[in-house]
Amino acid sequence: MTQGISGFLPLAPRDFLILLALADGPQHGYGLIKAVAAATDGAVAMDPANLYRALRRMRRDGLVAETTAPGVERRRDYALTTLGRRVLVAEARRVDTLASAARARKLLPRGSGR
Amino acid sequence: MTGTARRTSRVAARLYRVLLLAYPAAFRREHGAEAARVFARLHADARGPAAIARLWARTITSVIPDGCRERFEGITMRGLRHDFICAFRQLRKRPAASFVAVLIMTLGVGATTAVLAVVDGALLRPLPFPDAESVVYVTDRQGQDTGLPASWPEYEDWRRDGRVFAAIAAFVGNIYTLQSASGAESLQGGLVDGDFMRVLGVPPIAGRGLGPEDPAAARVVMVSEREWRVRYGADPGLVGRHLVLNGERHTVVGVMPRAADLLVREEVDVWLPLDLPQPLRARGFHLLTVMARLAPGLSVDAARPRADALAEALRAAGSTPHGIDLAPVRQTLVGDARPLLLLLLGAVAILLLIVAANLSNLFLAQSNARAREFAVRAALGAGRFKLARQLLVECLVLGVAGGALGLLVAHLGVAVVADATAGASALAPPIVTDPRVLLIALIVSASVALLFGLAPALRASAVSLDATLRATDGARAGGSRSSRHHRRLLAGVELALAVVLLIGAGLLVKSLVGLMRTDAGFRAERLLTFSVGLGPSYEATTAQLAFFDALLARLATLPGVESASAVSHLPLGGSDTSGGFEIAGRVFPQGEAPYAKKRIAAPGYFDTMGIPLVRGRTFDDRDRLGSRDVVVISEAIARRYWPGEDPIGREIGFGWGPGDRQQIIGIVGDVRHDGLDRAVVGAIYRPLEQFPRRGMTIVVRTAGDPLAIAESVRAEAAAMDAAQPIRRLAAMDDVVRRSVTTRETIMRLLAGFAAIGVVLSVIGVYAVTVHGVGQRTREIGVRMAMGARSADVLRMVLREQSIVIVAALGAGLAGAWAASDVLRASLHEVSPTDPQVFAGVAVLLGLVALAASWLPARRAASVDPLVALKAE
Repeated sequence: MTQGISGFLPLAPRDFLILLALADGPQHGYGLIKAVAAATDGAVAMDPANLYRALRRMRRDGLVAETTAPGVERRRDYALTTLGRRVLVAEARRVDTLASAARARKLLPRGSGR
Repeated sequence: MTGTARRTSRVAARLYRVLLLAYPAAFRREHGAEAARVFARLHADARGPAAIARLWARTITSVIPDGCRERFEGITMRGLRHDFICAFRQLRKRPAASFVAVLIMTLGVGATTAVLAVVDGALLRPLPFPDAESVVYVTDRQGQDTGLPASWPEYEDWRRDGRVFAAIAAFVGNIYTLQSASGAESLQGGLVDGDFMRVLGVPPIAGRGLGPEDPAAARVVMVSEREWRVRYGADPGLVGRHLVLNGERHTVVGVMPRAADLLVREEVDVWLPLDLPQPLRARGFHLLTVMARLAPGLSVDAARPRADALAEALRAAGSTPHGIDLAPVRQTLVGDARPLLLLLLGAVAILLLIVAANLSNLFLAQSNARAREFAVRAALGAGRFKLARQLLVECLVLGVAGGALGLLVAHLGVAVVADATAGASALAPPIVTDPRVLLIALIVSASVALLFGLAPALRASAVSLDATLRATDGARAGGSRSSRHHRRLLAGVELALAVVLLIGAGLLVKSLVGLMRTDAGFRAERLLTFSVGLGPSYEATTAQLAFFDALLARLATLPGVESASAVSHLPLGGSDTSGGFEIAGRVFPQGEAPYAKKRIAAPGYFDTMGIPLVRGRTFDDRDRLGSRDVVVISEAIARRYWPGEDPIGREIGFGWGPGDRQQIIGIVGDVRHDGLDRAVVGAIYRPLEQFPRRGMTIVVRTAGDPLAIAESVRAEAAAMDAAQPIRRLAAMDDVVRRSVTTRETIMRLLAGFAAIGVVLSVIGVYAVTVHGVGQRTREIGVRMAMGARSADVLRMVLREQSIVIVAALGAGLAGAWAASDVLRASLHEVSPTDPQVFAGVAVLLGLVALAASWLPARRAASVDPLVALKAE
């Protein structure tokens, strides 16, 4: 499984943001776009179709799963799978390693950025 | 949400769905509604017109490219690769059909590319000299005759006037003998006067160029680039060394670029300053090829009125009565080949259409046979687009394979086409691998593939699931009525196009046959010719005469030789001199001055050539240097200037001195000197004895095969003087044939194209009949069970086929009729609507097509009704 994880790295920034937004729990499309926008201070505004395109791909890869939101008709929620969570963590770690290296060379202020 | 806001977001959602059309249908089905709902909420969130505008801008720029990317990924990632694998598998399953398809494609692309490469070289590629549009040939116009060489005084007049030409140069070809350690060798010399290098516009490869500052008598020489590379191994140290030409030491000053050959239309080995002997500078000698670079910014069209004005001024000043013509270089070089090239291009386009129709037919048949396969796959969920794509990919694979092989064929075939258009191809040798040609070839093969693939693809993908799956017999199921019509239509189109091609070929054949039967004015069979150019050791005219007298006497005694003589310019041999002459006691209005081809002939020339003597006598021992100057004229001259009179005994002024009057002693038949397809121009002959010269073409009438004695003739000449090499040893038959080479090869090519077209179209007709009959096996069985005889069935099938055939022939004849203007320029004394050819082609193709229908029809008619019905 770990080998499977490395095959996904590095994640595309947009995929990373989507998975990150799902880390707190299942979300629907609108919520995801809002969450991604919030996480990036509005810098990344995703188009709905493009979001679904990414979700569809990540679903095929087994990173996210579709769940039907209870009580809400025709609305699909998305949730992280176990694999998705591992990939997310692995990517975060990879980014962190890079950031640490940058900090070690005093490119980034120590202790900031997270 | 207020009512207005709700309405606004509904509209936004609807607009968004429209944008989503950029995405594939499958995606829209799965996520379209939800994405639009999300968008409507985002839209509702946007506050203020600026935010809404930003949202729309962002959305439009995101949705459309993303959607296209999704489509593209869908194809490249899985679909297309899969399609290609499937395509190869399918093609391997039917090796024979695939092979035939590739073969047909190869022929089509090969022929097209070869012709394209030649056309590209001759008509499109830039000439090898800079600013070639302003380089022109400057020629003489005398009445109706245009494009004549200039005389020295005219050239000098033109050069003095600075308003038309920025640079001007004159050229004359001459044979030189090069003495080297390995013996004597004859070289083609190019003698130039004036600003030749500036007209050419290409700097010397090495050293310096010849220029106006080189005194005419200077012993300097430029070696041609070809000679420099071949003989001297591109040695840069050649400049400054010495060559012994015609017995004199010349200093090599430079290497002349290859482009110069093109400009003077001759393969020149060594270039020297032109030192024209004084007698040849007389007005009567029209022997200079003059070329010029127009004054800066002056177009050819703008220069013409100026040239006319210059001619007018010269006329007024009394220096020359002749006009001045300007001819752009490309036009002159491509010349006659242009209509023939365009003709070939048209023919090859028609061939390509036949190829496409034939392949389409082939594919249609296959897709019919595979209808069940498609129906099953459609039932399993393959979309219409996917099925069509699958078929198109198969076509593309065939197309690319055929195209690649076609390029190979083109590479081999291009030499044939280039030979046919030698003049034009010398201009710029055709290159198949020229990127432009390759690109066109690629586009051609891809579009043919798509063209023939599209119809079957659309049809197959539109197949009715229900009907196809329910039908028990696969072949029957696929062969819907409309498919049969479609295929008959295609076969008809092929046949019609083949008619056009065959008529074109037929007309060219008839034209060429007629041309070869044209009376050239002499008998070419059993005639051997070669030329001799005497070197500087024959400065004295007596030496020249002695040499030719002795040579002709020796040749005449050779076994197998009937007679031998000599002439200055061999008919159809490529060289020519012509000019004005005077008629004693007569004055002609301006522009109508008498004009003739001028020849020097040895005694016995007319007999040896088989040129008939019409009246009077020809040259003999009486006509010597010092005795009365005489000439023999040809019939055209006699008819034109002495209509209804006897010109014998009259006096003319030939114009070359010495002595200004010559008496006409005989009239001989006319000779087609410039080509079998050219009009006769009258000629005047003077005896060699009275006008000796160094360069003559020897003609030898033999008893048997002329080439059989070629070696003994060569030995005889060498025995006379080994330092005088002979050139252009050839049978006259070959000289004549060479003069029609272009026509002959174009005719062969067109006949080849027509043959391919006919074969393909007949295959088409045959296949359609086989298919149609096969589909109706059951119907035929029923008919026969009901008492129809096999003759009835045969008649029924043939009747249906003949409707197609007759319609196709009609369309083809009409097409050929419409195309007749294109052909006219390439035909000689044959009408482009020649009824014989039209009727012949119609009958021939009609019969062949009927035969192609008859074979399968007969098989159908001989079917056993029981078997036919059981087949269900």
